[in-house]
Amino acid sequence: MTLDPIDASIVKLLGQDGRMSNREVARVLDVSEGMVRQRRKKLVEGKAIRLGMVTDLEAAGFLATVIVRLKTEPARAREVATALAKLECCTFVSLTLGRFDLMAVLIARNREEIAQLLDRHVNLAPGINSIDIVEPVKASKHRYDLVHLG
Amino acid sequence: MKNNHPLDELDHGILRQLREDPQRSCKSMAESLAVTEATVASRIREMENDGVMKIMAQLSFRAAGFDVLANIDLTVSGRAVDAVAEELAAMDGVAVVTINIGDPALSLLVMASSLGSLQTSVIEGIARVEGVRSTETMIYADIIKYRSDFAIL
Repeated sequence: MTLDPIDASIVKLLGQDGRMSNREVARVLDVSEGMVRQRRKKLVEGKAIRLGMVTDLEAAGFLATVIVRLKTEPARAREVATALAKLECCTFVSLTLGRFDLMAVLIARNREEIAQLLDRHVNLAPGINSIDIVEPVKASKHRYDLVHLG
Repeated sequence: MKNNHPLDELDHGILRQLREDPQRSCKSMAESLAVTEATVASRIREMENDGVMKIMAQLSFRAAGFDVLANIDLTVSGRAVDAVAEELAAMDGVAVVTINIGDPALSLLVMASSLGSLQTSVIEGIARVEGVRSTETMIYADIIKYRSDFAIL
């Protein structure tokens, strides 16, 4: 789905304040409220945007993150990825091209919980040949205004 | 900042309702939580200002013109990791810069319109940054899960 200039302006305004009403957006852009409503619906349904609450990880109590990179048995990467994706503590999974077959991100309240999650859901999971762990300490940039929407 | 903002029951009540419907009116939340509309509005403002949460539209990478996403691991030598991270963060094709313990010192989420542009404008751009000793790219071939409702605010 490609965005025209009016779509882009709507996204920009709602990106700054997601609680702006269609009426307010319409007034700022000098278009009709109906047009804003229609376009917003199309943007959300076409998976061009997500409109919702974004919670700070730390404020939500998640103080530890780990990036897991796996080599799987041949042809089992998707199965392993799907199993990881089902976990509540898993915020990201992708099949990858490169040294590893897949990459996942797990979050927890603290490092001890991370170790338990790794033990239970990665070390003991079937289909995995090797595990590589990266421990991030902070992000110096995070473009959370851009997301993957399936 | 976030640890300076402990949340009480009312905050949690508001968060629950906003998670369900980010555009729910202060008036309707006030009624269900038995407080005034002004209280709800000020709690939302305080939580947004303190970086607890933000209600916003997020644009998909694809709609923004980025069809290719990749992870790049970086090792750094001869320059402080913070300084390298800061310089990389200023680049357009870099969406996330993460500082790690040990090697790789940095992991990046990078984005590009095509594989060709990933190579020429992103990877080659990163390679020119002083202090970058090596790069290793992993292309996200099929993203199975991407939680967009969590961030580092």
